[in-house]
Amino acid sequence: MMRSLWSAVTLAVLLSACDDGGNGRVTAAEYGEVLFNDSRLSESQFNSFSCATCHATTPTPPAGRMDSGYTLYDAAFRESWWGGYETRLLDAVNFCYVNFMRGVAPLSKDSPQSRALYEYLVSISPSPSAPARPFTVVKDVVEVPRGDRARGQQVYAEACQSCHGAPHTGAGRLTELASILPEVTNDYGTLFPGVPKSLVVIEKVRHGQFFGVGGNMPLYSLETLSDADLGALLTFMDL
Amino acid sequence: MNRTMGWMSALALVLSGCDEKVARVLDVTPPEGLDFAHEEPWKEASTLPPPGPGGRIIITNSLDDTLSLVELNTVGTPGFRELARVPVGLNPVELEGPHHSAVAPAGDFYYVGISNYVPGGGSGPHGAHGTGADDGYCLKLDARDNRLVGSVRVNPNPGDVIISADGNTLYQTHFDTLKISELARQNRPESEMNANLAIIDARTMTRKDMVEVCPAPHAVRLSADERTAYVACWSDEVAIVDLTAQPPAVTREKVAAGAGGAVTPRHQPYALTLSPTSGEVWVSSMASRQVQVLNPQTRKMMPERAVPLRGPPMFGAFTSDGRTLYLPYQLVDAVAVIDPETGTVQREVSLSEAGCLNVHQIMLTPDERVGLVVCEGDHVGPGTLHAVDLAEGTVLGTVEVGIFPDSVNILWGQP
Repeated sequence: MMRSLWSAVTLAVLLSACDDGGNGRVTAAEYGEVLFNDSRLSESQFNSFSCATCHATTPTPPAGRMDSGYTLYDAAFRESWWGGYETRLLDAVNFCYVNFMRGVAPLSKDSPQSRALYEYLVSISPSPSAPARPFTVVKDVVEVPRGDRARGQQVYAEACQSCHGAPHTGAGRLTELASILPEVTNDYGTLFPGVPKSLVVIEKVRHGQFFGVGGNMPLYSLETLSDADLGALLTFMDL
Repeated sequence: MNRTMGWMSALALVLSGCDEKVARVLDVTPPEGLDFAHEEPWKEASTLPPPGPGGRIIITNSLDDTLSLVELNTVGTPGFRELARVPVGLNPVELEGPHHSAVAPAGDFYYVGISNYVPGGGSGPHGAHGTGADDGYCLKLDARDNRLVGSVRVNPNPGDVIISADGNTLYQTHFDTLKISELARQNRPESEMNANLAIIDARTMTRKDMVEVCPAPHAVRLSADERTAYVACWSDEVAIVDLTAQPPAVTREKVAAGAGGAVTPRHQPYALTLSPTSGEVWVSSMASRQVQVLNPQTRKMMPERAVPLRGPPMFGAFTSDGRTLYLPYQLVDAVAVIDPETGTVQREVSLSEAGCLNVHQIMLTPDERVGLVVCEGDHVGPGTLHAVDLAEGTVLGTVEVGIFPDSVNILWGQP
């Protein structure tokens, strides 16, 4: 109790010392940006994802990023999200929040965090309306032609590494819950007897946690990862 | 340790530059005096108005996870078209198979079954998706904005769903033919193939009871006093559920002499239509292509009253005086106009020329002048909704809807 009080006093002192000459207040959009980038938006102790893990916020994604989610620039006033299957922005956000960020309960419409996140999304959405973005889920998992190894290495670096870390070691991975690639496939012969390991990897990439797969990895649609790049990735992983 | 580290980090951030917003927000806890620029958070751009007193037709499209909405008062006008097609379900990634709907009498909510049965819904090493092996749900949606406000998990393969007159109780069957085939493969007895009738509190969306009724129960209808539920069972039976007993008591009546069972049905009862005046239960049997009649007093079938048709009969509708039964049937894709007293087919309204394929259900408008008929289509392309002038026997209009529509209902809004 005393420690909390002391902390609060300290925070107040720090903040007052930080007055920028204006009213000293943080805008909701600024606070929302912090939340956007902070995995602690989710109360789950097992979560390591923030919104920024899967989404850029610039008109086009920065070089070197191949996210499973679209950039959220101009996303606030899209006609729909998730390929037309979410028609409300908060529902679209909460689908991520609950399924990928392990949020215990959806964000409510009126909580300060929720409102601030909305204001940040609006602040990076200058267009009053924007068309929906396509989101093609690969329903039936089938093999893909293999591709160029060097391209596959690049795909790994841009799409996989931020969560899974360096290949073979997992060095720098976002969380220990993220498997080490491609070593995780060593068990697939036992877990999926008779099934090519590559097919299990393709399923994980294309279905994420859905279709009965499990875990909390987002899925890659055809728009966010082409079959050609997936084939190159498999070549790089010797699968 | 963590707390100390956190404060040290915070201090470092503050000292590193006061204009850094992250330094002014030291935690995900909201800062004091937060200024919100938008009075209405998460403002929605949708301009779809709520249903009005003119009514709104709602159709479940079971293979594309959508609802087709059509304004009822456009029937017979050039404006008879799909107002909107809205997604429905718990998951925007997987197809979940919305199956049938029930509308609250007050018009404030409606309910949709989620079957998780979508052939070709997806596959991979973890297995095929949408095979009906997963549990289903009953969803509660706000009629004003089609927003999900509640759900309850039920058993695999939800079939029909209906609501009590007071709007407080839902009855949902489970058309679990997968259970029949799985257990038959294991040579298990038919007694193990029964599926449940879920009785659900519509206000709280909690299960009040799960009543074991019969193998693959599909259509469910309530008697006028709501003391009895009748259920069409794939096992060539009608289950009669005494809802006044605690727990509800089930008796079963074969639809005909020499009927089959769950594994080898000869009739395949699928749909039910109740007479509003006599209470007779008209049983649509797909395999035997006849409508069979159950006497609600004796609780026995009346074989002499059975009406043969040229194709599998589906969900029909009575006029409020009980003197006419409109019964759609497949193969020919027509609506048979039946005199229930004599059992004669007085005439037929052909729908195939209007584009109907695999007719599924007819619902009458309140003035009983128009039949709203939904046709499944080929289960790949769009299905159709037809407005039929019942007196003239003509199709007033046709609307393309989603894939494999399987129910039609009407939402009534407030003036």
